Amino acid sequence: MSTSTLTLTLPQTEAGFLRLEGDAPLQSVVDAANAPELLKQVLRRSYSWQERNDVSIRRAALSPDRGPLWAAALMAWDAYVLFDSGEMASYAHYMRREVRPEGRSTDLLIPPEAENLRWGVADVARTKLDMPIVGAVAVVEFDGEQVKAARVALTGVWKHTADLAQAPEALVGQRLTPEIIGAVAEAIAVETDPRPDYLGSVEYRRAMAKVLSRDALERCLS
Amino acid sequence: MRGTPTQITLTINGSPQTWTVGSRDMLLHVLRDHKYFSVKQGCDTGDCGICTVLVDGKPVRSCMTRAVDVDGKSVQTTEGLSQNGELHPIQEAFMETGGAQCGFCTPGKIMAAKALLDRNPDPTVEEVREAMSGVLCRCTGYVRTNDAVLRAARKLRGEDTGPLQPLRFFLTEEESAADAPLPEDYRRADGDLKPLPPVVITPPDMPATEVVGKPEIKVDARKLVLGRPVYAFDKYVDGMLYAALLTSPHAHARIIDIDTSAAEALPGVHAVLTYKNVPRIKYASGGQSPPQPPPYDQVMFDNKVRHVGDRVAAVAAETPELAEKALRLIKVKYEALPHVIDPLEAMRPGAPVIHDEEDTEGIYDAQRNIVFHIEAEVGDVDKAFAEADYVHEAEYYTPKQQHVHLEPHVTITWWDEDDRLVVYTSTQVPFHVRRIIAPLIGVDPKRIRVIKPRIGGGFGNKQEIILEDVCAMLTVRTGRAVRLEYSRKQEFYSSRSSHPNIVRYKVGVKDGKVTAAQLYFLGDTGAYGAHALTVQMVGGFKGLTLYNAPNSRFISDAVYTNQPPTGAFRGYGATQAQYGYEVIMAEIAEKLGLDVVEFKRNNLLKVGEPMLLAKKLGEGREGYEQALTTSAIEECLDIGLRVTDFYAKRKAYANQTGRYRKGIGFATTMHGSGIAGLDMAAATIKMWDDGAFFLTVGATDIGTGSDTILAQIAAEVLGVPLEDIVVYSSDTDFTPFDTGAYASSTTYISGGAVRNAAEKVKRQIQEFAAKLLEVDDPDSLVLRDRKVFAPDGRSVSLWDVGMISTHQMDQHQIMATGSHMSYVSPPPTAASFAEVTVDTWTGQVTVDRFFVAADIGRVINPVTAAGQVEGGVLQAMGFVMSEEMVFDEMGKLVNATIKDYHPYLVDDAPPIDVVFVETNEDNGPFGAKSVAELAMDGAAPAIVTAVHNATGVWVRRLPLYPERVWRAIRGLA
Repeated sequence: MSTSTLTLTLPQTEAGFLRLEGDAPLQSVVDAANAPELLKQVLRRSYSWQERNDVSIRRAALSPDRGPLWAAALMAWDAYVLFDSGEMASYAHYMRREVRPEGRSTDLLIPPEAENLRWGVADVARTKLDMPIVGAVAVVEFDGEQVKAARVALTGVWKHTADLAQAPEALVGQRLTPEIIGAVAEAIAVETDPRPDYLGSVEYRRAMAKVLSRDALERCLS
Repeated sequence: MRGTPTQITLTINGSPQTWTVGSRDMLLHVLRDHKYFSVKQGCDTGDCGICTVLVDGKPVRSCMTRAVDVDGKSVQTTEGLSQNGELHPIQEAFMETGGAQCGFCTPGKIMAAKALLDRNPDPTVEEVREAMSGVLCRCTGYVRTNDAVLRAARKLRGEDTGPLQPLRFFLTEEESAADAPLPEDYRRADGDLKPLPPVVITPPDMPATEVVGKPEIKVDARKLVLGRPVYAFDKYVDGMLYAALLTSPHAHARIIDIDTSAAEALPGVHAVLTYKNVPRIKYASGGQSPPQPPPYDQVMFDNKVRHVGDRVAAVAAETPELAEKALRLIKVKYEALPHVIDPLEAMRPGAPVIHDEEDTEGIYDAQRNIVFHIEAEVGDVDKAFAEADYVHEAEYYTPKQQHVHLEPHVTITWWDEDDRLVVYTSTQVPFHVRRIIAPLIGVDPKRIRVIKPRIGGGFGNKQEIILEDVCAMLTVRTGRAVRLEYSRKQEFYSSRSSHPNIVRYKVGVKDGKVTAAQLYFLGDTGAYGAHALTVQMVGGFKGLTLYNAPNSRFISDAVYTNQPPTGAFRGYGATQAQYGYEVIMAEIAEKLGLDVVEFKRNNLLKVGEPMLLAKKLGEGREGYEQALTTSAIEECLDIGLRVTDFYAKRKAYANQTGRYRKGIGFATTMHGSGIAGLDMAAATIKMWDDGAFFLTVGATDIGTGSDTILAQIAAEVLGVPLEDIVVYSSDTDFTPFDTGAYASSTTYISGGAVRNAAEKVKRQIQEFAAKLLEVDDPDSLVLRDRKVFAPDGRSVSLWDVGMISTHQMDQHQIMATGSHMSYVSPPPTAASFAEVTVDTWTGQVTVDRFFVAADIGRVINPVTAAGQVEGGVLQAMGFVMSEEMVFDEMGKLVNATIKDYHPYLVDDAPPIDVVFVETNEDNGPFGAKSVAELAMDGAAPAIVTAVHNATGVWVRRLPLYPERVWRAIRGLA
């Protein structure tokens, strides 16, 4: 998929962003009063308490196989990876290997919670705590009643662990309604490129991309 | 040591320590090296969490934490919790609630609980479930463990907890069990997750008891909650060698040559075993009574491999690392052969022949890979089908389930000071191990002693001789103590699993009665067939008996494939077969417009009726005529209907149209109590001079609590509290024989042996006390409260009886051995109810609650019995919802980790409530039957019929992966 149409804008400064120390345990995000509730919820969904204490933020972000929904949440929340060279890259771009900054990745930068941000998470799994077969995380930024930016990241529908879909771009400048969400979810399903396994065929994963993208986006309505 | 030696300083359980560790050493191994054995290893991948310790008060997985990373920090393990012999309140709570069954995960659970309660002294049930979800438990169903954490919180807050008591209802002659006034809690409001105590309903004909029936704390609980090194996994012997196994990367291949010279030349390597240097002795690895059912299709090492993970070679070396290095130096030249993974393909002409060797006898049709073909019939089935009003056929599929007991297979062998071979092993069948390995290793059985310590779960997988022969042979070859254990990955690839089955039923109904039933039962036995015959026969008998059609036919094929071999798995074919029968009965009721409850009730096997296939389908041989002697299944059914509000919900859920739909389903099931005419157990009771008793049993407590309930039986007969019975079990030198822990036999068969032994000892005590009390009739004396009472109220204490008989008068040892076997296997029965929510857009099924009412005869210990039911239900729920060993086209497992395979975790589990309706089974000790396997049987049909209630579709292939449900709802293939 092309990245040219993605509205990922590198922050010019860290000001206003939350810095997640790469060496800190995942639990530090859950414990932080100002960390976005989306990230806390997804961490609790994806990792046990023990894992949150013994896995670092950097490791979970860069090796997301054990927590694919966490990777999706970081992408949808528009997280950035900082490098010891001073460079910075969008997490989604970096995980797609489209950018290769110099140096070693250190910390994550994430936008703070904001009044005009809405988010939603949806997944399907064998059981509540099982890894998602397909998962979707949506984050929508509003400007009044209009969508200013929208990102939907999915797991289980790409050749790699998680990625952002392009179709939500179509929401920008529009009012978020069930009808337009349905159309976008349909488009998201079309652009996915699932790999089948015993838990989900290509057909099923595509269908779930649609259902769960819609679920996640509809949760942004409230 | 792995990596660069590094000095770290830490505080461990409050004590400052300075250790030298490798830079890549994991904390788990370092702690165990320093004898903190409470820290257990259950996987190699960070998935199970039983290695949980606290680092600076936070729970972490010690297997995923480098030791160097705790430099300067504080580490807490379970060893540090108790102070001056006083248990910590969390440890007490785990004991009191039955939260420690096998106990292997218990230290990890306790540490997670401590971390939670340190930061939240008053957690909600939801908070407990989330906090405890990082530690997998395979025994408890999490009901007792969650209850333990909540109880511990109350204790720590200084609240009075009181003893844990089940709810008991003693019925009068006028009352029915179905009318027992259960508290409203048992109806379960939506979202109510709190653990409830088990309920016991006792009919008026049950004699009163003092110790039997009480929720006694398990006799081994204290050492389990203390995290003491009581497992084979914790056993290390000075000078011990470490063994490792080389296994096949191919699903099917011939070994053209194997070159071990480089491995043998490696300094520190003491022995290498391959097919070239061990005798070719045919055997079957299933721990079953002789004559073991054929085929004897295994040898210790073969020049052919038949599944990925099959044995190729074994090495014994000074260190585990050296053993692994030696394995890498072994050069194996394979000729890959065509392989077959699917059992239907395996039966086709021209399929690869998996057992083409000439020296295996007893295979039904080796060319078609059919190990056994079984046919059994009563009545005139074809005529009955022809005369039936309605005939229905359906086919069901069950998955290959792995046991995932948290302690892996572990064996340690050594020569003792008398040159006898000691086999210290995590087994369910110590006596079978002794007999089966003797010819394989060339050691006379009388020179072999097998000891089973505490076992970290088995569920049937340790009914197999898997490591013992190789480990023993390495000790024979080297003269050294040797330890051999499986990794978690090897458990998946190289141990055993359940039989995946195709279950095809044809049922004929006339005037609302099942008049004809036919079951075709195809079992995939994998590469070897140790349990192929018996699992299939049990499936046939249990799968056709509950509705006992007068015209019944069983046809079965057990088929080899190039998958890892199957074996004994809790349920043993009955779970698979009853799933099919229960669902097809529901399908028929729907087709005919019948009330499914009444349709089943009308057809249930009734007390006094013969079990028609009992003689034709024994277990691996002809069986014995049997009739149903006790059953409270209808009362169980009625209780479940009332508690779950079944009819009202059925009606409410019948025509839902929304995305999320609720459903309720149920199942009526039966199991057995031991193998009729085959299982035998013995027990010996010795009276000490202080009036207490030493009970030795061959029975094998694998975490079920059998040592406890056997001691309760002895205590009941002898009129003493449980604490006066000291139990020692499962040592072929020092305990009498027992077939082992399988076939739901322990309570019924071993319990019968204990009762018999205790009755003999009681008689000796009565005779001796009669002299002391100068009473003519010893039978008139009553043993109660540690005394022997004469009819006139005079008494002599057991202490006096012990002292005087031992030291002063008519000196002799009061002691007896009792044995027990039975030509009947009384079925325990149950009614199970499941409530589900189905997301019809994704196919995801959530089990919202599960309720079981069970008749297990007399409930010897309500807490341990409830633990068996809750744990069995949850294990079965995995079978229904998530657990399946999946293979790629090359025969490799695609989900050989706990995370990918996904057994239920705490917060996955619904509330599970248990009610026992007692019956007084004349053949069982104090009226007891069995419980362990019954618990497996109801989940699949209850959940599948609940999904049907919610959606209107039948999903016949398990597990209920979301896609399968989603497709069924849409009518897609």
